[in-house]
Amino acid sequence: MKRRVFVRGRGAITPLGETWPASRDALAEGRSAVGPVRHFDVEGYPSQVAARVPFPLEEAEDRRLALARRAADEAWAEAKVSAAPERIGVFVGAESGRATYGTIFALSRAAGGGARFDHARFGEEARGLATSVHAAAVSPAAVASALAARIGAEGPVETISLACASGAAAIVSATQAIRLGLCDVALAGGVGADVDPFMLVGFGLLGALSTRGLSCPFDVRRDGFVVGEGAAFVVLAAEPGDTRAEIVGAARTLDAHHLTAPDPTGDGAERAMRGAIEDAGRVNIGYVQAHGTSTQLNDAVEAAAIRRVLGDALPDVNVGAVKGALGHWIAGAGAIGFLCALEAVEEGVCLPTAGLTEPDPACVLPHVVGAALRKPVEAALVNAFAFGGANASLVVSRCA
Amino acid sequence: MTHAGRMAVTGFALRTPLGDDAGAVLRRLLAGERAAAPNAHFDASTYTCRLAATIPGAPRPTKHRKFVKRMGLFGMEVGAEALARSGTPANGARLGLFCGYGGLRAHWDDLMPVLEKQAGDERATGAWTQGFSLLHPFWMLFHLSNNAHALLSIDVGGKGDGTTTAGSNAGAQALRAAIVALAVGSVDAALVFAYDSLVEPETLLSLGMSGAATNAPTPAAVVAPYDERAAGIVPGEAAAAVVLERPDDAGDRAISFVSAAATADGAVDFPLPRTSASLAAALSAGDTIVDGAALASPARDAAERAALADVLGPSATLLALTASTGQLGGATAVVQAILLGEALRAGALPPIAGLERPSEGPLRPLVRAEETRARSALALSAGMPGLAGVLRVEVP
Repeated sequence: MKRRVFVRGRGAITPLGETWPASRDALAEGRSAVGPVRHFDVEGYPSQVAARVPFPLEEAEDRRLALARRAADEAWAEAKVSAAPERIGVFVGAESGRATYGTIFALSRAAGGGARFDHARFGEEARGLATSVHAAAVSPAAVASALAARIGAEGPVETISLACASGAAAIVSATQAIRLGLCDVALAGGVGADVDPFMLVGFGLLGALSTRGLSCPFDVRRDGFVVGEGAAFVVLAAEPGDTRAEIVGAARTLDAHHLTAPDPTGDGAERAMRGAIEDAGRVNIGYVQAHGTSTQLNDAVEAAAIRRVLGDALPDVNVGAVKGALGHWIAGAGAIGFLCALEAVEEGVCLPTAGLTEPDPACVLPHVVGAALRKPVEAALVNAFAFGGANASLVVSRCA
Repeated sequence: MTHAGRMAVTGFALRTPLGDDAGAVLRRLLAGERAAAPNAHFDASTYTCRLAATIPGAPRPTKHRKFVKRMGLFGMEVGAEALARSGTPANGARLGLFCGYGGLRAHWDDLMPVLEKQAGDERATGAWTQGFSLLHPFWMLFHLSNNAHALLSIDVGGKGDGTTTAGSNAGAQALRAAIVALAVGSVDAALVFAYDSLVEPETLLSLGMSGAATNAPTPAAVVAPYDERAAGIVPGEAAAAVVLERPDDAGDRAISFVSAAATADGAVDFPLPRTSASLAAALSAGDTIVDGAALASPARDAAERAALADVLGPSATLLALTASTGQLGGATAVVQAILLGEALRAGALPPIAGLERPSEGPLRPLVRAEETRARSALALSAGMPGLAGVLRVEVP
């Protein structure tokens, strides 16, 4: 008999709101935060738009931690949980931190500034920059470590760097940990802070970003994703408190197909969804928060996989994809998607896919278009699929 | 219950500064050898830390060089080797892959020519025309945290559960994640591979300036951890892999058994000793041997020994494999899982290489190799910021 996993707290900071309620309200109106990048020069870049958090943050150097702390604090405050420190775990989807463009430039100058890295110069001239490349600033695990200290967690702490599936995969790990009794309470979620020159250049050169500047999942005009940023966390617990939702299904799979492209058969995505639904047992899925990146192949493959998995139940399901509004948070993407699914279950609010105006015939699904759709939802499915073919799916349900 | 139980190791492989054959590496450990040497990767003569323990040689030629750098390639090599040696019947959706890696590093060979002509202001003015446009379209893939994980899954056909965990205790995280996956039944075999190098320019810079790494001018001048004069770690690098299966599934193929735990305490530098000790307490089952974190700082070493003594008793035997291999970052725990298993099976414990004047305190730092009849041991790994891992290794 596996232990139940209740959702006790939620928190998010997004390009549309400093809290989850503020973000949710904006999302429900169908608003999008995608806009031109103005805080650095993107002239010539393949893609020149992003969804950036506009609110003041505490740290200048490690934006990941500043975002994560805000969302985690909100979730933790709402949860009102108590447990012995060693029974509290932290599970975070996060990628490595990066020094700012200015710091990396300064490091290159300390290394001579030429085409080749001059170690003899670097060894002496970079000494003043040492703190900017300290593990506390650049380690992928710095966020989880800091959050553990912040909430007094002394149980399992895990950092998952699984590209676009990281946040959802972290929630899967937290779910498994509570079910196995490794901890009783878990802070879980993800953060993405990738609206910087290196990421826009890297993904842009790879051809993954929208050159049209549109984030419109499942739309016929889609031509790539838009980088976004933000953090989303939930607090999970073995005790229900007065919560209304629980995680009933969780699964991860690997495509084992290609480094950047999804398996065109959708096998890995389908197995993740089926795995989560089978794990959940008898549930009626009423809403799907799709991964929906706004890239040609990913959206078509995911749509086909959703149709196969839900089959005859599809007409009773609605589908939304939050990346249309908030861009793609990479390591944080699955976590904000989870909050959207949770909203459907707890409040009966099915958030729409912003930017979707002309659904692609290859992506036919019961999309939520325009504004939020209100209807009772017993259970919702969340997808997160990553570069490299890593897939994570979760089912969140109203408490029985 | 604070850990997910123990699982059987049915296959392993490794690349370390002391070699890539576990038996041969154990012999060098027993002989008290140290891999510390002048940095073989680049001229570190002006760095605060000039020594390193590096893997000799290069990864085998592979098409994956287009997407994965040196350490990731080593990780993929050992992963494939461990799986082939395991004899596991699990495949496809019943085979999971769990990777541990230290974190992304700047690839300066690519960046320097790109940054050369840039103005460098905070707005990155003109950066595209002045350099970024020269980057290769695949440049981003070198910075994909799960690139080795993804490509290895393709190579070995692993389609089950899997994650890439990250940080300087990533090996312990990956072992734990794999054990959890086996415990919940999402896979029947878990390939765990970890890789990391601390021998990178900015890592050496940071470790050296913080005082965590040795500033000894020559290998002979390096003072061992747990010595009263200890003065910093030797940065190293490694890749290692194990295949885990449930004990009942492994049967006679079980080489050893491991359990693992990992946590973090928010410390800016290394974790507090009590953080590691509490993990050790959760895993310990009357063990009397421990491979310490070996941070080579008199204050930290003393605090670690005191904390471990509370768990294991004051006379427990203290090893320090990384005194020989160098500190191995995110790869440490998987290397420990392999080499401690080898040592226990051989009935021989390696000395703390170079230990001449053990500092006073509880536990018994091993100065000379000695025989043992023990069948289990604990191993600690610690890294920045505040990351701790512990595993327990047991042999049949």
